[in-house]
Amino acid sequence: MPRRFGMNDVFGLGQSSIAPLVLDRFPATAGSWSFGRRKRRGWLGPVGTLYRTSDGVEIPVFGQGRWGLVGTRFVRAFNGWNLLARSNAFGTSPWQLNKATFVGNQATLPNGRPAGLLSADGTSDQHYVSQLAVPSSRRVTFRVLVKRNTANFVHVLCTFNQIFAQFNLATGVLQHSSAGTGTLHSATATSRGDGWLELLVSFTQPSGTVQNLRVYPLESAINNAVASEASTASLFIGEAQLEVASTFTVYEERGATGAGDVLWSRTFDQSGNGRHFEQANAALMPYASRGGVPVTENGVLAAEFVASEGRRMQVANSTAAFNFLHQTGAVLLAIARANNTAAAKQIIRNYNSSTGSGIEWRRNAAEQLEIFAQRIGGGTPSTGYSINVTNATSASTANAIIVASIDPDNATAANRYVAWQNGTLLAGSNLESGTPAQENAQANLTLGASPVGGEPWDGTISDLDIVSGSLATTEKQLYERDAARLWGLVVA
Amino acid sequence: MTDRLYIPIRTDRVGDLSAALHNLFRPPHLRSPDAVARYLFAWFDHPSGNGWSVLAMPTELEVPIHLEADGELLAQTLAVFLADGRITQEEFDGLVAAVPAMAGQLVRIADLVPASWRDQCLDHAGAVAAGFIPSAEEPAIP
Repeated sequence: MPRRFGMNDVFGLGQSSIAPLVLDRFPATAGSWSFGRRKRRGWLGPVGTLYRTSDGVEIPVFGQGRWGLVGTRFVRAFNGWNLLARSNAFGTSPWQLNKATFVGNQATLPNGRPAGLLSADGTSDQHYVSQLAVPSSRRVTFRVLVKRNTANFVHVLCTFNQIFAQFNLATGVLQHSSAGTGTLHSATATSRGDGWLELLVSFTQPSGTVQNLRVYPLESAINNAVASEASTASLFIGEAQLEVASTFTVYEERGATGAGDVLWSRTFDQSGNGRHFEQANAALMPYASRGGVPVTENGVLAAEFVASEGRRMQVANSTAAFNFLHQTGAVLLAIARANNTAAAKQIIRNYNSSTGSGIEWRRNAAEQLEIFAQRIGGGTPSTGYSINVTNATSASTANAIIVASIDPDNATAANRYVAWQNGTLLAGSNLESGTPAQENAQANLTLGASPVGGEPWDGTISDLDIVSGSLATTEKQLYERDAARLWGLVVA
Repeated sequence: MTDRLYIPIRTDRVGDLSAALHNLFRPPHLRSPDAVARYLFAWFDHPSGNGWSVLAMPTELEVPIHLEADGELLAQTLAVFLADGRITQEEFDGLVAAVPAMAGQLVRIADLVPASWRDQCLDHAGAVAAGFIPSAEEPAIP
């Protein structure tokens, strides 16, 4: 009976048999899976641990035996979503005042909470409160409550790209606006009673770096991104929020830090063998949520790997645990989406560059699937490899179910490897006839890069299972159908 | 891509320094016994095995120093750098004394880099030129 290792133990039965691998008898779409069913299946354990960058808190998360079924709402709640720190304390760092003053507790917001007074200092210059918080290349919505005091207008600006929206505080009318070199999606002001306006400005800044968000009290309307005037204009202000979203959701009060990211520090091996993928370095953990938005594929939680940051996870002390070359072979099953980076990127690898042994499964610079198995003492491809195949028809940057069945000891070279993408058999045959000389696992099994961080994955990985042994065609198809249902994919 | 400062550190000490910086953010006594996270910044060991690494520190990253952050752990880590003569006694005393004052504050970690290290720090191009970061990806099997 084949035994398996992976992140997906959907029936909670460990790896006692391959049959429970699939969800064939379950309605597996996210959200339709009742807790009662899971209780009958007996699964109560966590599927991983999440690390919150805003304060270093790390917690276990429960996903009904599958990390993709960790609730995205839970991840969002754990992380928070307001990117602004001190969201109702504009006089406190990291807010910066430029030729302006802020005094708290000067008015009452419609919900009864305190608001402060933002005032220009009378000099001839720009007068604003500012925070460095606007992420690049993501649609964000800024929301703030303002009320006229002596100012007639309020000016909201994202610097560098000069995106701005300027409102009349008496009428709420949008007086002037510009997309600058970015995109201004919308800018509205809605009365919230007692003179309060709720400003919503939705925009995207493409600068490549985090930019400043500024709010100016203005005496006069100024049709210019850099609104400079000599004035002592003032306005009441409260409850600012910046979120990666197309509109405002729910206000979240933030203290010393704005919402950061949530990272996967560990994903538990659901087979019960304790071969957990882990990453102790916060700078290298894959994302579960970026900028307050959970990473998903088809609404299902995933892990995002960013090649420029070299994010990856590794099974500790696993050099001898995955000797794919000399057992009965293995089946690798994954759900992954690669960005088109024109660079090779590893899905999993335990190949050791120094000893020249192990396997690697990756997409190449053309986004084609490739697999290599090399034995110790590797040399030229004709003698050093057991498997060496590029699947010519597999190029894809879409989320895909990929399956590779390997049997490096098979005496017939062509029988050593076969692969499918979304259920379709991929073109590409193994020609390597050299047999492995000894056990091959010479580096720790690594997800999303080589064991030393090379060729990092760029995109998402949603699932990984490794079956020691082979799968019957019907078993493979059950996995594919199950995955297709959950991730909204079409399989042949 | 985030701008980073690459600080040359001895390979046998770079992990301890990254861990000590994480301690400012999340003191060990506040972590779950099962917590995985230990380091704040990644580092690159020189592929020649010459005993040197570079700590990759985002230049703009601001970290909230925890209210219960203890300068003692940082002092223990920095003591070896003091013994090496890599930081001055004045810098050592200043950093250790600063931790309690920073508690509860948002601190730009790059500002904590001792003055005597600044002229040794590399940018990305410098780290590539010095061989710490491969200019091309690690060679694949084929």
